[in-house]
Amino acid sequence: MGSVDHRSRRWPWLAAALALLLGGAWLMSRGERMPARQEVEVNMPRSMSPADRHRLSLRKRPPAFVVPRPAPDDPAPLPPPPQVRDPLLLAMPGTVKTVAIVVEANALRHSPVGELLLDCFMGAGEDNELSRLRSKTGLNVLEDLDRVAVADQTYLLSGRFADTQWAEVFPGMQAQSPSPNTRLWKGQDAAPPVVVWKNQIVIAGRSESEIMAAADRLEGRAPAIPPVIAENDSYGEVYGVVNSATIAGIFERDRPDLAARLKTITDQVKLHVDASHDVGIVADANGNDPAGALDLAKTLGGALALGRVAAQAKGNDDLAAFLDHASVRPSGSGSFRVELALPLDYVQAQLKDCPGRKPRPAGTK
Amino acid sequence: MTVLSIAADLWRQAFARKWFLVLGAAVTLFLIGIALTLRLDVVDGALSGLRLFGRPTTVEITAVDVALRPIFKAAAIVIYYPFTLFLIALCAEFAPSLLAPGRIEHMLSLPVRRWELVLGTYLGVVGLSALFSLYGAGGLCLILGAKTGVLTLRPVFAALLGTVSFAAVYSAMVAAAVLARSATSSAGVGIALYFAGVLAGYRTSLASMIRAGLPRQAFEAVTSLLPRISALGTVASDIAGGRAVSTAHVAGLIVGFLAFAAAVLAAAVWGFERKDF
Repeated sequence: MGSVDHRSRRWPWLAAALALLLGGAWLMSRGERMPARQEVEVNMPRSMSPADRHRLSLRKRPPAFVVPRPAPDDPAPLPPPPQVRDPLLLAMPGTVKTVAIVVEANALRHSPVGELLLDCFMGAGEDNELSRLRSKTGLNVLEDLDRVAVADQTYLLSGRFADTQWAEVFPGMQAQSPSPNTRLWKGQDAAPPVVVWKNQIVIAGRSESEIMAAADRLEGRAPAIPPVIAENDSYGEVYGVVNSATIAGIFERDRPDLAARLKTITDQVKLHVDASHDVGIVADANGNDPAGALDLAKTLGGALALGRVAAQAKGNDDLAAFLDHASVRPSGSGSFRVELALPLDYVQAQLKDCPGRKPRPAGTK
Repeated sequence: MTVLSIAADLWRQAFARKWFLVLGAAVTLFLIGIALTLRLDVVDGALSGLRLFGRPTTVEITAVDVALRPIFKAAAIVIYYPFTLFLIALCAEFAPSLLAPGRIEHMLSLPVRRWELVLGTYLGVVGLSALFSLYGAGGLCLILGAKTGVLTLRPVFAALLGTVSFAAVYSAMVAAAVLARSATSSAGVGIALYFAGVLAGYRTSLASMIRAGLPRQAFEAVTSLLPRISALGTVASDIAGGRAVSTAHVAGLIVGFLAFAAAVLAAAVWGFERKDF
């Protein structure tokens, strides 16, 4: 009897083992088929990629104005063949006082971030400002426009504008033809003059002389000068240079000390933004004071770290996640690089309750 | 109380062995080395300079906890994988020695139930694993916290997940010891379960490579019972590296590991109860 009792006491162990094994298997299997979270790996635009080089090579053109060949008996040596250049960069001035920025509008428009922004501000319906502009002028901003550039107070657009009815775009303005490739639109009132070059580049600005100078550079009539944005720096979806005083203005109110040091230690900041998926921002600050630049880099790094801690403390997880990818890298020779990243998830979260979003018509995707 | 007494007795035995002293000394030396040779330059919570053995290393100036994530991640991976494997080899002898002729008869003559003997031995060894993991990870956190002013316990949580993983493996080692009374077979079962558990963590992707039908179903059925060691290892590394993890997923894995350990221990007790000494 005792043996039977002893044996019967053993079986609960085995039953418990079986139950626990099955329960454990079920628990561990939960969530097993969930897709793994992808590590955010933002593509930082630190240098020109092969795709950027290819894009640049497709854009390069010789100047439109070709110097006539000398007569065969002319002893003077032949002029060097015209150099192929990116026309938009060529049209830009050699120096700027505040800012020179190029936005790859078409690439940006077809990027995930661009889609989100368009959806947010233009809505998904057919009846919006852009479609009305297209039906009136033939200008399809979303497809025809390639790049938008700003150089101080001169604005440049590049793209394919062959179907654009410029008289509809510039109502009340008269067209002149300073050269076969150039149309200058001028109004009676204070409307800024506009140059349209070969239906490929549009230049607008307050000063007629400045926009005509840009047209002359395009035509090859003006002496070639190195443009403010070098061709080797034309990578990313946004690129350009910003005067350090302009950047310092951002910090003037909250961190006047930082603003003053930015102005004295750095000359200008080169900016590159990659928005092909997540948004990576690289800013290269150049100066000629290595010790000061290192000190400034540390201060900026500290400010970013403190901003992140403050965001965490306030429960602003989105901002903290954004600053997770922030870093400053001093070079030791008077320059430093600041990198920031906007993960696409972060942008999506920010645009979730977009005030500009219009209700989608029923049945549209 | 009896269970704790048995566990405490096991700790006394462990610290009398030179291998455990070597392990403790190695972890201590590593921590002292880090404390003496690593110099971190921190400005406003951002790591702006790093010197290892006096040599400056170029660093990106970034928030300290972000900059230290790779170090914590590496520490978590070392504690979770090689350290656990080392412990499997080191602790393989404890359970068989419990059942050694002479000692087991002596123990059973005391007012101690058999399940208390098994559980005491098991908890003693798992406690040792937790102690060394916490010592290594906690020490690293404290040293880096003192040097940077930013204290994080993420590596400690990651190290505790390593202990959970070892707990599941060691339950099978105890069961093997009850059946075979051999340190070699105990270590063999532990190592086999460890690697099988690593594979089980990838069972869904591995299953798709196996021919559909009975072979795949058999693979899925067997691996569904095993602790997902690599899955929990990924979680440990993610926690140490500051990545967000799903609480429900982690809780499911931890409770599942503990249920597996309890199941195998219950089977070991069942086998132990059937033995005559």
